[in-house]
Amino acid sequence: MIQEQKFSDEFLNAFIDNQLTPEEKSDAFVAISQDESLNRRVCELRKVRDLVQLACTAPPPPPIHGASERCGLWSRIGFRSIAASILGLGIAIGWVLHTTTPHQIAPTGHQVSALTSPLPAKGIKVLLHLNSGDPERMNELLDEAESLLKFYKKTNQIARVEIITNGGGINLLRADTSPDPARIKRLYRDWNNLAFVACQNTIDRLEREQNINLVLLPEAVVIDSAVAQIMRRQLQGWAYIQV
Amino acid sequence: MNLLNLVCRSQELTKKLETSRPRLYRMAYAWTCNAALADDLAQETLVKALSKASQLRDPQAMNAWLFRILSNCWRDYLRKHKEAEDIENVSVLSETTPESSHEEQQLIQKVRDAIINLSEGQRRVVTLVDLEGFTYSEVSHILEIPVGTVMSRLCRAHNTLRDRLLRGMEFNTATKRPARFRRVK
Amino acid sequence: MKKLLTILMATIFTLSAGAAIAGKYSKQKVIYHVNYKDPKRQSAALRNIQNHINAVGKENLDIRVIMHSGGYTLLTRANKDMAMQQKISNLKDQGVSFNICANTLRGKKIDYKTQMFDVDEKDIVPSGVAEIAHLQDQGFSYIRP
Repeated sequence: MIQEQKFSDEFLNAFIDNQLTPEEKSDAFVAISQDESLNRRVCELRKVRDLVQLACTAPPPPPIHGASERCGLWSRIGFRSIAASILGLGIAIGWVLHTTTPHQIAPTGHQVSALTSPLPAKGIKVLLHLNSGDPERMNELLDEAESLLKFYKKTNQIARVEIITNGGGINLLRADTSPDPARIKRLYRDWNNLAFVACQNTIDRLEREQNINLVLLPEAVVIDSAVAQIMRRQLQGWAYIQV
Repeated sequence: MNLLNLVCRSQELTKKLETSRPRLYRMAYAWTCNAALADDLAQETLVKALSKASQLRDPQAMNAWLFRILSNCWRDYLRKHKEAEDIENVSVLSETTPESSHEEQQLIQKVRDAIINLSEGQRRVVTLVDLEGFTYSEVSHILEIPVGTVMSRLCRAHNTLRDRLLRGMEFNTATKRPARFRRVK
Repeated sequence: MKKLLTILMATIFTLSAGAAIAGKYSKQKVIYHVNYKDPKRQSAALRNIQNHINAVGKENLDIRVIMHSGGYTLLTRANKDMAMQQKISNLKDQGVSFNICANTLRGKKIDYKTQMFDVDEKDIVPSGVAEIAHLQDQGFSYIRP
């Protein structure tokens, strides 16, 4: 109860959007890992954000106009206003060069925001699928993921690695059964091109069958369905490997 | 400053603006759910941006500046249509896509419907944060509202979407959805 | 077995449909991923590959067996098992290549020259998983029997 009052919805939103100070973030991590309902709220918020990104990232294409209607920016404005803009731009650039104020660049987006969006065409994209809770296999998966990331870094290749878990594989990301939460935390921290994904369908089924509240590690992101995600990723050109 | 330099920089600016078009269109579509209108808004934004280029003090702030122009274009459009009592023609119903039969498209459509049913203010905030990853202070600048308002609108938008999409809506289980990829036993 | 054959053929033909040349199929490129220790599964994988070749023809196939993690035991077992050696050699004669992951060799401290059957330096890939991803990028289909 006290935790709920301390961590309002606004606060949790800010946590997910990386708008907290490092101390606040650290507090939140600790609280979330210890409080099931808090963790659940965070998971739900992440899921909502994923859904927004899923729905809005790839809109239907705009209607095709005739050549005369759509000729790009240049013809639309007319050359007179372009000349005026150039002059104005020159003045602005000259003025800017004398200023020293740095500006905060918008963040490149959260790790989760890339979860369902198509990615830059270049670079290797690898989906590692774990559907077994066998501890040896879970540890091997972490080994493989880490060695893969190191390999790509060493060979200067742009790469993204996504670990997707369903069925027994969800044990990897459950706070109570994960073989090595500290390692997952470290990997998540050290590699910004690595994502840990859990299947909502599996979570729902387990909670229903075992009458429990699943608590996931804070590094985990929840997707609606592992199967759907695998299909999406393959359509987006990801390599698929079952580990 | 050398005029040739100015021309080159302006060409650069135009190119840079054009590369922003897909993102502007994507955001405009999220707000309007109308492809033609979204396209017009994106175009109008770029035209205004080029004509107002001199007002951009800091090139690093171009993103936020562009989306602010977009937001204002949309606001002006709404005002114009409201005054003309043409509000019925302003798209609040989402378009159905030809691929609607596909399960994932159905999910996407449900989410789009839920977003379009948010209030205007909440919709803009949630898409600017979740889709474009703007900070709260950038959103505050884009929409010309206090940061506190950004946070509370975001929070309410997420709660509404959560209630609509996560609770009271079943996701298909893996068994109902045919897996395209099977392990060969 | 017949069902397996049908699934295999359906998978491969579907995935490589676009690559057909008039009058003749271009080579089907397939990865067989072996990362498990279970001897029965490993033997079954070798049988699958032979069935695949029987169904499609060795000249129409480019099969790469990629072994890593527990899959390395396929070659360490074969080192002491004549029957397995025969199966592997037979497959190699039909154009199948067997690749082993360097990370696994290092991690399990295996001397491939003495502890594994018929492994050449050229058969070793720096990372089994990276090799699989790379091959998929080159249009290879993926099977994990």
